[in-house]
Amino acid sequence: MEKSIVFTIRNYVKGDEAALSRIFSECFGPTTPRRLKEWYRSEGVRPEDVFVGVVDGKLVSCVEQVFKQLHHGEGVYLKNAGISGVCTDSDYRCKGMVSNLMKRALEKGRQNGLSNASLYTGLNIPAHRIYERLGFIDVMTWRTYMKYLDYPYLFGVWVRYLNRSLKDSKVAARKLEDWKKSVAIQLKGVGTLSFRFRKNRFERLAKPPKRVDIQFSTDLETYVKIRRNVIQWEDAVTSGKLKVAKGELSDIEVFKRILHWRWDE
Amino acid sequence: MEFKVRAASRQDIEEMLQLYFSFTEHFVGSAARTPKSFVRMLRKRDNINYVALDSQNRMVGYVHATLEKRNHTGEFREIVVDPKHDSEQVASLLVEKVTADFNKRKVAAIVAGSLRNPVYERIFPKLGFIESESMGVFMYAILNAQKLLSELEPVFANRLKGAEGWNGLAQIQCDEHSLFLEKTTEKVQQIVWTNQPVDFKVMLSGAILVKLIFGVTDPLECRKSGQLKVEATVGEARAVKLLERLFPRSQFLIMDFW
Repeated sequence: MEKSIVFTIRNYVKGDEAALSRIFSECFGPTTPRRLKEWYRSEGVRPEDVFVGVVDGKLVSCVEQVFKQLHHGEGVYLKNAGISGVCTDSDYRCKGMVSNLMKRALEKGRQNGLSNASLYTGLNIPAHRIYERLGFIDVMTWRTYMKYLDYPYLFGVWVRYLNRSLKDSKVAARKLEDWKKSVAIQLKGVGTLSFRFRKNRFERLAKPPKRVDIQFSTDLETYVKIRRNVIQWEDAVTSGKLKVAKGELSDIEVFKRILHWRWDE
Repeated sequence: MEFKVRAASRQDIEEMLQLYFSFTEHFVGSAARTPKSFVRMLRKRDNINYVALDSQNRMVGYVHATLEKRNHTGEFREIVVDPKHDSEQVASLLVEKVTADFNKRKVAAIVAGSLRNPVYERIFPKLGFIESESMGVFMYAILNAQKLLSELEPVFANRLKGAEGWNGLAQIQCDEHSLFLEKTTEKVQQIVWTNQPVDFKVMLSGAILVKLIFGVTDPLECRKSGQLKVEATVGEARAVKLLERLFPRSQFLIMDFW
């Protein structure tokens, strides 16, 4: 953990939505204050169920509790503190804020007479270790089924999403500052999809440029699994499922970060 | 049996709720619902909701799918079928209907997740869906072990009730906390404290208790690996039966993410 900072924890108050949606956008993808308010309303989240971390008057971290009754067998439903919306501004990570917010939220759950808590998270993210330290245990992973009917369209959506995410991610903006490259992806059964990054923008290309910086070919299933972090890029290369035709190692490393949108070290 | 499918309406809410509970009672982890959540589900214009009816117009299943306009993606959120009509192709019928709707609306992708219904593992690969592990995980923590054990008393009492040919005192010890259950021919009741000897005692950690409650680990395997200990005055065969009765293999299912 890096050097700790002075921060305070308080509950959510009306007017926090803009700051919260900014952090949410950086952590989970584009969010607006309106969508945040809608989510709170639909899930019945009260201001006292939302804990925010504040540094020098600036809201930089958040943890929410959503209460559900979960079936524990034999028709018995127990009240459960569902932890959600755990996020921190990238400039304030690794300073123990989330651990502290989580502790307050769980303590509040205990005070309210709750015997258990639950959450959903990613397996390969730093937060997973924080949750384990706080006593959470892995219960279940799951499988997803996908059918792509128009992947080129989704590729375009993804490129737009990258631009929106870039706007919200300070770390990504820093890391991509001097990266001006083009990428061509040959997907079996789909065709060649390409984009370039320059002037701080991702741009989808109708066809690959003559001098492409990164070029590789694979099948749609492998590509999707790499994006979802289920298959590692290196393993796909070793097994022959992905063939890199062109690309410097350092550029591919940046491209992998773009694929997963993971910018923390 | 012949089934027909039609769009769901607000008049179906009560039946949908009943169906939801009769379906989810066979699983653990699912969230309790109120009619309000179904009102929300049916209100949104981009949601696709169908119900399947039998020849007497009784509801035997429903499907709830959503359309994410921004990504042009359709998602199966839940397929609920009356357990009495399992393996009668009700789910397939509902999936076909929604898929046709998705195709009409020209979606770019269709998604479904097994955590919402384990039967998806049979339906979707057959329809040409790509299957992928998810890097997400559901995590659970015990905040107050003594309280959790007390809250779980009806669960264990009900399970012990079915243990034929055995009466006695059972103890479930999780870390330093215990739940005592006394079984007689008439009933199973919780005991706060007693100095009488325990006939069947299970000792386990909070983590193993959680995994056993949610049916993601096997009690006999846990015993073999030393993660769970049993002290019993009854014979080995009876002890194994009691252990399996207390912690039956259950299927985990979550309908609502938060």
